[in-house]
Amino acid sequence: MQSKHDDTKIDNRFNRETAEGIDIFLVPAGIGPRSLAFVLDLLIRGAIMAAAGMALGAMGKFGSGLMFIVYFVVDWFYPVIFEVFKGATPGKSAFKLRVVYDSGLPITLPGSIIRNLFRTIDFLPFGYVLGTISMVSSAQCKRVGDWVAGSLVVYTDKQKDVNESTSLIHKPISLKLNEDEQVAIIAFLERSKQLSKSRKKELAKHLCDALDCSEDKVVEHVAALASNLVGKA
Amino acid sequence: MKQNDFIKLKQPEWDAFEAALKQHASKEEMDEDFPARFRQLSHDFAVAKSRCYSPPVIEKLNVLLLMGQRQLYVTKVRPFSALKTFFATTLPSHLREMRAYIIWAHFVFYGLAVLSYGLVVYQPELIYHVISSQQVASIEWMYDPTSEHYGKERPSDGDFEMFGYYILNNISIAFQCFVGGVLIGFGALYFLLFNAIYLSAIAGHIVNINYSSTFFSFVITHGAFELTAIVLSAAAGFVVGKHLLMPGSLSRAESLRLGGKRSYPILFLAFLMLVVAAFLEAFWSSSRFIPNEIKYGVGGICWLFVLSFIFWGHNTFKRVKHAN
Repeated sequence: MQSKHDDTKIDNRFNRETAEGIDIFLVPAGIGPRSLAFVLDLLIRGAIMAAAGMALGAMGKFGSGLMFIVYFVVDWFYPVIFEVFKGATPGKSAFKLRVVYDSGLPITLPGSIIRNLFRTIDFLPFGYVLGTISMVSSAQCKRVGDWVAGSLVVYTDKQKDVNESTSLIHKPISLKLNEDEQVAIIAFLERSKQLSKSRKKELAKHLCDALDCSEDKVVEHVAALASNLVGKA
Repeated sequence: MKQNDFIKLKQPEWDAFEAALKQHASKEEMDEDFPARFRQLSHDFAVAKSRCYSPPVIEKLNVLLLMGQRQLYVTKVRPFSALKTFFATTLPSHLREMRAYIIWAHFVFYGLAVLSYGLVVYQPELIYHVISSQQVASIEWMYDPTSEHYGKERPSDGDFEMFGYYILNNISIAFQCFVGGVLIGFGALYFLLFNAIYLSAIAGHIVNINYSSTFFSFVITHGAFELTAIVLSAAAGFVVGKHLLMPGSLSRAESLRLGGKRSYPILFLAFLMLVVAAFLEAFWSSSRFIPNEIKYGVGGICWLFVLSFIFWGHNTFKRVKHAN
């Protein structure tokens, strides 16, 4: 089940095998967005309590009894309710996170209850110190509750457009590349819209000699090579 | 096949899959081709990866698969049937599995409670080592049979206030007992021992000052649920601690996960019992009009019921199942 963490990787995504026999990948969320999500949830919880306090405060002792119960439910079950029915608390949704099992499947009631009960342990000795240590020292950024429940917080899937890029140069280029190199060249083409001109040149100029062209033209040449590889030239 | 030709060929299928995803999410009923589309998409994904197509293409397919997987394999939340299965099979089997831990937790809790009770009865001033004199005074005031507040019935909205308070307070204690198990069992042990010493010292002190009639008639009924729930949560906590300390042939993380899974039903039972206890404590135990004899009778029955359910409940369920 557990995929080995590869130290040579440049990102923290990891593979999970599905029932269909393919490896899909998940990207665990780091401590930054999770802390921000927690703070947002804390504010929302505070708002709920304040609203309940105002509504129930006028009802005397019956109201204050209800208030205790509301406090109990919000304190222990606010994350559980949202995670089971929505996949994430409002705070997590705002930061595009969701809670899943290690398998990548949505969290269910037992898992959610366990991972949220163990907040008490993560909180020790104060202010989530233990949880923070556990998160920064595990590759998948798990706090103690996540270890016990077998759960993960991952980024929700961002839809990316598959853009078809074109090149101005229509000159057949023959260059023997292995698979990884091909992927890198194509990725360069697809990312080129997000990169500045000088950065593109900086990245591409390593190929000047291989492509036999000047530094001014190298970006277009690499783009042409990539177009060639994806079937455009 | 080059990447662009592949995209051109498959794009309509991917779009159809995405449309089916959205429709499914909004209408709760699955397109009958959805599983087939999902398998086709899995295949496309594998092909794209093996042919080293560019990262955006693979990422797009990965996202579609994740969303599809979420809808295809999601477990529907059916609270009532889940609750039925829980009481009919899950809980009895786990109670049986955890029996040794539950028995030990009982021994630890009541053993220490008897010891601390005896000490306080023998040496009355020991109570001040456990509880501050202020608290002792307020407890004495609460259970004073001659005091004025004692004759009056609390209005029912006051009962409800106490119900809310007991839920908040007692259930938090039990949850602490459970998660304390992660500190290699010491946390659970600490909360268990603390409660044993604290509660029995109070009981001993009450006997010393001759307030037993008001105190024991108050605690006997809900105590059956509350004390047992505390013991149960500590037992569940021990299970988690043991899995952490002695993972056996499993990895520690996997063992911890298993420990959480094994002890979770016991904790849920403790939770339900504490809600019952809070209800009884607020509305029944505190009532002044119910004679003490009835309170002792009902309390005794509750103790019998709770303990027989914990230790022999699984047998009863087995018989019921066979009878059906």
